[in-house]
Amino acid sequence: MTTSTATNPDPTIEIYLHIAGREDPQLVEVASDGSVADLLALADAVDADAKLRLQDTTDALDMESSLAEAGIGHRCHVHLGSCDSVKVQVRYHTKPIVREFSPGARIRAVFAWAAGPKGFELAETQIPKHGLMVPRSDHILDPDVHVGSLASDARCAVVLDLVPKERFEG
Amino acid sequence: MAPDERTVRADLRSARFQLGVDGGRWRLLSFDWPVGLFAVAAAERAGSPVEYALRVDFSGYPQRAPTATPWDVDCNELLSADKRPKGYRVGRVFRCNWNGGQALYAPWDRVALEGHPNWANDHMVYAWHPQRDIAFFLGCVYELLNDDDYTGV
Repeated sequence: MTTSTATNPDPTIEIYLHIAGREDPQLVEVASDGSVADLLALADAVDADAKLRLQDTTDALDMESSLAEAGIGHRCHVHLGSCDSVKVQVRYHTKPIVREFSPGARIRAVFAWAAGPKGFELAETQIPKHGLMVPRSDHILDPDVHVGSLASDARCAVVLDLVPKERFEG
Repeated sequence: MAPDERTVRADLRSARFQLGVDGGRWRLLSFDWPVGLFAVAAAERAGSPVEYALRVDFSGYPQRAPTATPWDVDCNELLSADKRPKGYRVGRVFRCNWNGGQALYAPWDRVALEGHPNWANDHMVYAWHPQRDIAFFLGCVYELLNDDDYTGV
């Protein structure tokens, strides 16, 4: 969700910061008149060549830009990492499929590709009954997780399994 | 402040919880340790509410799972059977004929999980463990209330 800073009179705004290698984002507070570089300073243990991107976009933001110039408003989603793209391999019964995604792309985009006509061609009725999992994890990935949040900056790659969702029925 | 209360308060401020709030999936109505009152959004069904309230007890969180009582906010009491969500899956979780209807019959609820130790292995995707959080708990309920299986009250 992006809200214009013009509608938020507070001197600070909150940003969802998605970081490479960490599945869950952080909610960070930054001065509303700050710069893109200010966001970078809030993240600890980040690669020196890390870049910021708006969610679902490919181009890195200019560090010298103000948050407003970069289009970053209250509770906007931003991705931080050094990968320019992430190689995503999805496995499902047959031969795995591979495609590159922007690190700020969301799992919903990966799922749409993997389950769709360019992927494993799931039947329309089967699509809502499937999801993506990191191998050996204990949960279906949230559709809003960033692809780059699942890949370390060192590898810029991730392997996912397309699986039927367990449906607890008591 | 005890560790369990401190952890709950931190999780209510976390990105994971706030993402659900921003997305209209749930909201916090009130919090008076150890109890939080939440509303979880439900899919639109004729003659049915747009959300259901849960009175969640966080004692021992996150080492022990929360436990949630379906709650009637207007009457400030246990939600009666006729006001509970229906459907094959959600109806079982919100059942009244187990534990007096005071907990959710699901592996993410403390009372149900402690009564069914096999669920931790049999339902790993849904079972509570100390690395889970309130967003996971509410997310499981949100999924049920927005499943095709949910038919309304």
